[in-house]
Amino acid sequence: MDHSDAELLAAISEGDRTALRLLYERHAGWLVVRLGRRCGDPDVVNEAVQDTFLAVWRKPRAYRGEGDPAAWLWGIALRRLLDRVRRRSRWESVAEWVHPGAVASAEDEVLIGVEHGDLGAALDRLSPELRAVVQAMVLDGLTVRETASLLGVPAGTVKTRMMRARKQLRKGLAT
Amino acid sequence: MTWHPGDEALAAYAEGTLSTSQAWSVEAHVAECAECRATATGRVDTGRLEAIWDSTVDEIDAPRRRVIERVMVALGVPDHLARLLGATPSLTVPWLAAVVLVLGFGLAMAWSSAGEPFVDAREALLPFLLVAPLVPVAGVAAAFSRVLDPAYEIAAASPLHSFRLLLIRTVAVVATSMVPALVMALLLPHAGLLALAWILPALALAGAALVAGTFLPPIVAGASLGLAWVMGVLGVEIGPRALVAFGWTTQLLAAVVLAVSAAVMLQRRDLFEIGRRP
Repeated sequence: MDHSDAELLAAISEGDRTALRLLYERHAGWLVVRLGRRCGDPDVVNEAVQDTFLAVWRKPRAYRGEGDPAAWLWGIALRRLLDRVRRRSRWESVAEWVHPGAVASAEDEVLIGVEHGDLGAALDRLSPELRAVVQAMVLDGLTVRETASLLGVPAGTVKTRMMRARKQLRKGLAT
Repeated sequence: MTWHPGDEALAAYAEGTLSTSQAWSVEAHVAECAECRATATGRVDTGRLEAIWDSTVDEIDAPRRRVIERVMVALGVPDHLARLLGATPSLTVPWLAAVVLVLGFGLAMAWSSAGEPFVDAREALLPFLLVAPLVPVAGVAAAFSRVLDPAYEIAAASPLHSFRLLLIRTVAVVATSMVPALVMALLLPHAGLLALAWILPALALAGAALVAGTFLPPIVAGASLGLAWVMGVLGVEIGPRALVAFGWTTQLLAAVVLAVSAAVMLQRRDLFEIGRRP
């Protein structure tokens, strides 16, 4: 843990594979977790992480030394995930793309959340489908079209889900 | 950073058991904090991480796809076929560059002598028309030569029907050689229909080379046919009438050769199934 990420990236651009390995050890784990919250298929997540480090290996100079390298990595990883999801069939069921754990407990969460009036509870009360849309559009800053391909639903559905989510959150905060 | 979610929350986040609102706030923190990233990373299955690393290294060590291969994959050509076609020597960019260069000379000669007095404009076309039919035959010879073909081993072990593979590669080679030739032929000065007079001879030569390749090494077959073509044309062109070698007789002859070659290839298709390749 002696070298900073930026130093590792500089070494990678010299073709140093040990540096790539160090960078991988430092970042692959949390990228797997964070991508896993956006895509329920572990294979797709694995492929996206692989693509990310492949992109880093091939174009380490794309990092211009501005900002946190971790944020830069996340940006690549999210794009790679979108690419991979697009390449898979569009017709897979929506439930697969939502976090599997979230699907199972969604109804319980709705019931538990009724008693709270804060934003956190309002968020937790959203159905998994709506939550996935809010996560993609608000947290990750994806466009409607990108969100649609990530979740495997039409763009129109993304818009209506976003509207429904807004309405529910507003109501949740008001009570 | 002063606030940290704590190991328990990080573990729950990594395992996906946090509620949405908690997970989002942990995630926002993890994005900024290297320490907590390390903690969360420690919670991920190392077997999974090693598997991803291994496949990443494999991908790094794998030869990069050639541009032509990537174009083919993008156009919907199956992966394995694209790799085989991409490894065909006569489908590479240097090859195409050589084709364009050689034919470019023919074109340049046609243009430079076109304006001169006492030179028959038709005669100026001879270099181009002589060389153009050699391009596909050279491509076919190179594509199926053991010496030049880096994919020989792959193709020999390919699960594809070998005869089908042969046809696919031939069509790909002939098509890619003929497209630049055709474009340049259309730039010939005052050529009229003569601009297309090389096409049938070209196909006939390529077909004959494939057939001859079942008896001889492809390079020898291609070279002898090419030589025969050049000698034949020059022999006829010694006479007083320009471009007589590209008249209807030749076209007819070429069509016959092409038809016969196709028939022989069909006849001999089984030959490709027992391991011998032309």
